Amino acid sequence: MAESRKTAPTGTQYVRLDDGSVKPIKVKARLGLVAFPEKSETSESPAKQPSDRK
Amino acid sequence: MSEIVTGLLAKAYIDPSGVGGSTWTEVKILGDVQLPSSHNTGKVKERGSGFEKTVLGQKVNQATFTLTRRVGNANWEAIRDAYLNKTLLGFAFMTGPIATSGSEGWQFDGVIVDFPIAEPLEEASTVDVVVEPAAESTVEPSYVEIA
Repeated sequence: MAESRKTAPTGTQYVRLDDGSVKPIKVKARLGLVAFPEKSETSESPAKQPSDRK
Repeated sequence: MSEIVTGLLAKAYIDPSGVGGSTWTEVKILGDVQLPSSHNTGKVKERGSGFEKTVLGQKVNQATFTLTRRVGNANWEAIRDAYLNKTLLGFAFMTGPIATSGSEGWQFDGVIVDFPIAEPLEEASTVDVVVEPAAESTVEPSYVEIA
């Protein structure tokens, strides 16, 4: 989608650590445009929260 | 002080929901990784110059890595199934842990274009996986740094 390619050079992602916990990480783009997809209704991850997306 | 990145320190991650879609999980069953990146180029030849010059076009990215064929491993199954089913996977190839500030690297939603299984007689069976950015992704490939 061309529209998504114009948005949000930064954003929050999540990583599952070895102990099973999930940690948020802040990502900034050095190149390119990071455009996170809209939240999926089927996901169980905290990454599904639109408020965390930029 | 600057840090030297080695393959042992670098980390690879996948997210079956795509980049930013859900949660990164480290892939520990891969060895060597190659991340070729280049530009398409166009040549400019003008009478006013004694030199042929170049204009840059689109970037061409790819990732290749050697994956150990660990049957039953969740990451093996995720990558295998992405190949078999032609589905997209989010990939992150970082200089260190993705949760560590300052780690940097490529992230993109990829499709697995090559999945050649090797079964050497006396060594571990491996696959030299080739991944390329997926046209169906809604996320542009990006070189990112963890803030």
